[in-house]
Order: sequence, then C-alpha cells, then structure tokens
Amino acid sequence: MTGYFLRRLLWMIPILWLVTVITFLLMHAVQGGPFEAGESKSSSAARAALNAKYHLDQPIWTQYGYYMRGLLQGDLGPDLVNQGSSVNSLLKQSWRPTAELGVLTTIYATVVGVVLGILAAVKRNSILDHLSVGFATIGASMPNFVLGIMLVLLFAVKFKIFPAVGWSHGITDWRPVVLPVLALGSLPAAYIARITRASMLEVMGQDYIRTARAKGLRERVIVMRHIVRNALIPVLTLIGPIAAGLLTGSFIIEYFFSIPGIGRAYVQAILGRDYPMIMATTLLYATVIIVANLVVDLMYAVVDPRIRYS
Amino acid sequence: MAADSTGAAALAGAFEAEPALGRPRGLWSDAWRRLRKNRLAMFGLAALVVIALVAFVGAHVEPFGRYAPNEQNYSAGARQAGPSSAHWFGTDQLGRDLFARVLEGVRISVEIGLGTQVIVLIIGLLVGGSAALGGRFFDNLLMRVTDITYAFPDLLAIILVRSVLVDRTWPVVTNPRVLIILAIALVSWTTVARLIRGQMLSLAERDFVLAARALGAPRWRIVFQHMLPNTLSPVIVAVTFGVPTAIFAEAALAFIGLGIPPPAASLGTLVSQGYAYIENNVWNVIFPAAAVALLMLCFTFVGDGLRDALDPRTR
Repeated sequence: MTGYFLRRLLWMIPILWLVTVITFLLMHAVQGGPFEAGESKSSSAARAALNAKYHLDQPIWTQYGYYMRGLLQGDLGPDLVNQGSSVNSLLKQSWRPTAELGVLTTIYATVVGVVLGILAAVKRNSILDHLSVGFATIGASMPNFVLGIMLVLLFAVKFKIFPAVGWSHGITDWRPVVLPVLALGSLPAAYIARITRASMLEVMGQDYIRTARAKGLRERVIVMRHIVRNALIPVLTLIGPIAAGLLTGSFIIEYFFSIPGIGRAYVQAILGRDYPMIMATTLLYATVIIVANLVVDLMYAVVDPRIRYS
Repeated sequence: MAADSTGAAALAGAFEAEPALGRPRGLWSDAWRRLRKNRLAMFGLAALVVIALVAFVGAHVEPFGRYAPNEQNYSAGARQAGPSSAHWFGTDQLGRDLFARVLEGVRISVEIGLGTQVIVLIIGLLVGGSAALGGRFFDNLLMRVTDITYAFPDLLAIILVRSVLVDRTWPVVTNPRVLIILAIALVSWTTVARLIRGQMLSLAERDFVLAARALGAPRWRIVFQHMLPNTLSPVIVAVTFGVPTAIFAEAALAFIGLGIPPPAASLGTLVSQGYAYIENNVWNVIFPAAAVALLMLCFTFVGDGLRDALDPRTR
C-alpha cells in the first residue's frame, strides 16, 4: 500500500518532466515570438538584443537547457511581456484569486450538490426531487459563461446587488465573490447532485437497509448513519477531480469577471507568446491535477477498506 | 407476458431451419425499444432533428432563409432592433438578422461537435485497439501517453494546440472549422481510447471469445465480429456526451476571441459580441446563449437515454 503510493509519487517526476518537454516544444511551434515586429514598436536591433538577452536566438534544446537549469533552482524565468518583472513575482500576485475561487467554488458545489442529491433521493418523486433533478439536468448543460452572463444581467445590471467585475480584497469584501462562484460552481454542483442521488438510491435498495428498517430503527438514523455514509463514498472520490477541474478550468470565468488570477494570465501569455509564463502555469496546473488524482486514489483506499493497491 | 411469448417465439425460432422466421431481437433493437420509452431522450432527439432541419436545410428556404447571416443594414431603426415579425430574433449592431446568425452559429456548433467526435472515435479506436491487442509494449505506451494528457488542463491545452495550428499553410488546417475540430479532438481522444482498451481487454477474457477461438476463428474475425460490436455501446455513450463537451469548448474559445474568424460567427462569438452591446439590446445575448444551452441540453438528454438504453443494468 505505502509502496504503491511512493511509486505513484515518484512517477510524478517523469510525468512532470515530460509535461515540460511537450509544452516547450508545442509553445515554440506556435508561430511568432514575444518580440515580433508590429506587436511592439521596437526597432529590429532592439528586438535582436532582446532575443539574444533571453537566448531566443539559440537552438531550441539550448533554450530548454537554460530553462530547466533555472527551473531546478526555483527560477521560473523572466516575464517577457512585462519587462523587468519575473514569472515568480507574477504568480505570487495571481495565485491567490485563483486558489480562493477554486476552493470556494469546490465548497459551494459540494455542499449544494450533496444536499440536493440527498433530499432528492429521500423524497423520491416529490416536487423537491423533480426540481433538483431539473436543476441538475439544466445546470449540467449550461456553459458557465452563459450562466455568468445571466447572473450579471440579473444581479449586477438589474438589481445592482453584486458587482459585475473584480475580485475581493479581503474577508469582509465578499460581494465580488458571489457571482463568479455561482457561475463556475453550478455545473459541478449539478453533477454532484446527480451522482449523490443515484448513489443514494442504489444504497437504499441494499439488504442492510432493509435489515435496519426491520430492527425498527428511526428513519433519521437509517438515513444519516446507514444510507448517507455509504452513498457518499463515490461522491467523495469525485471531489478530487472536480476541485482540480475548478482550480485549473476557471480561466473563462476569470476572463469574464476580470479576476486577476492565473487563468487570465495564461490566456494573455499564450496570446503574447510569453514562453516562461506559459511553462510556469502549465506546470503548476499539471501538478495540481496529478496531486488531486493521487489524493483521490488515496481516499478510495481510506473510505473503502475493500480496495487494495499493489 | 408479452416478453414471455416473444421469448418463446425466439426460442422456437432458434430451432427452425430458417432463422428469418423468428425475427431475432438483437442488442440494437432492444436498445431502440428502451430509448423510445425514454421521454426526455426522445424529446432531445426530436428537438435535435428539428434544429438540424431548420439550420441546415431550412436556411435555404423561405421564411427561415430570408436574410443572409452577413447581410448588413444601416438604415434608421434597422440596427439593435428587438424581435419582430420581420426579424424574429431582432438585429445586431450592424443591422444583421440575428435569426440567420444564430442558425449559422448552430451549424458551426453542430459541425464542430460531431466532427470532433468523428476524429476522437477514429483515434480512440486505433490507439485503444492497438493497446489492447498489440501486446504489452503498445499498452504501456498508451497508458503513459494518456497519463500525460490527463495532466494537462483540457481547455488550456486546446488553446495551446490551436495556437500551434493557426496561421499555417498546411493543407487541411487552413479551414478554420477543421482547425478548431482538430485542436479539440487532439486533446480529448484519450477517454475514448482508454474506454476501448478497457472493454477490449475484458472482452478478451470472456467465454464467447474463448469459444470463438476454440472454434478456430481467425484473429481478425474475433476482433471485428465478436469484440468490436461489444465495445460499441459504452463508446457510443461516451461519444454522445463528447458532443456537448466539444460544443462547450468551441463556445468558450470563441467567447474569449479565439474562435472562427469573422464574418462567420459561432454561437460563442455571438454571445461574446452581444455581451459587448448588452446595454443597447439584451436579445443579442439571450438568443445565442439559449441556443448553446438548448443544443448542449438536447445532446445530454440523448446521451442519458442512450446510456440507460444500451446498459439497462446502470439504471
């Protein structure tokens, strides 16, 4: 068991290394560079000087060598678009909104999804069930930016309760957070609700639930102790990939609400051929995803003792 | 009761010399029977047929095709108009008929959704099949490749691949729709490949494959006649769910300005343009946004129905 996870942990190193190689090759295959004529007003001599300064005039494997040497020393490289600052300092500014958005959205999606799913299953075929199934179905097919637009139209333009752009500056400044979290989290909430409901219904058909009923246990005890606990095992393992997806997939929402996070920086980096920034964000995201998948497998083994890894 | 009598008929048919007598009910007719009973799936299917007819055929016929998607009209009151009998969805900032533009957007979205899944299916079958049948080396290679692609965030990888392919003079990718289709497909094929590999590996251990092998059936016959048809049902479900995912990916790209170049506009582009003029005319956002949601909803309904119909155990 421990050996399995140690191996998985070690396996991260070659995967992340391959991610750097593939990303490096792909982004250098993109036509144009950060210092192209037309995009900046600099002279050709200045461009050549900049290219030389950042080794962009050298063969790609030499550039890769320079990059990896910096990376292994914790230096993510210079920010090519904003001259003078480094990727490290840029990430230091932009990780917080992305992380806050991701964590808050994960909490929202999990709580709403689980509660809706449980209620729908317990009160099966009631109005509540139909409503939450309806919410889950429509939520699952609504693109998050479309939902974002509708929320902004309603709550920012018409009722002026929440701002349409920007991000919170502290714990008391919670208003800008509401709409992005709702827009980003409703689709995963709907998904979690569907899975919870299906899992609840499956557990409710099991023999040990009938036994619990036959023993004369109170309904509340049956639901909370016997059904919900068992039904949440598959849901628990979903939260890992969902959290990873929310942390790394928030860039449309960041773009739409002008949240100064990593996702928005990534889109700008690709458009501006800001090579070190593309590398840094991709690596960061890849690490988040791999770790999340590992945590899921670990949780599987913890909550379900029948599962053994070797 | 009805099931019993048809079962008996099928049993009787099995002993007849002429197999055509006892109308055999296969997996597909059974699945179709179950699918027809699923109201949401049939609604989705019917809505998709209507939408496709209007968008692809109707656009050449009155009254749906009265305006060309790019026909501009700068006369007074013709721009940013609300819905009317002349312009069902109103007009945009250049006086273009929004209904015609939404129809064009639907065509683009459907083409991209289906086109992506065709490519995904081809790559998935080739890679998944060769991983399952090609021995340990291929199998390990595939699993490591999918490990790595799983580590990339989907939408960001699509943006990167699209940036690599854009502005090239290579033969196929000069078509902007093909370019988007390829960018999405090249990132999202791994799920289907893994699915096919898993199915093939488990099927190879099943009794009917063993029986076919014992009867001396050649390898290609076992693969194409016995194993491939049995991998299809989960693959069909995955591909159906892949369509709305691809439509969403394209709309998201278009929304941030990385979609198909103008004047053609996909639904994502329409939403993003409409949002820029939201103070003047709300309808420019509402109709294209509703169209994206409706398309994705219908494909999701059909996917749900297919999953229940093809694998009744999962209900």
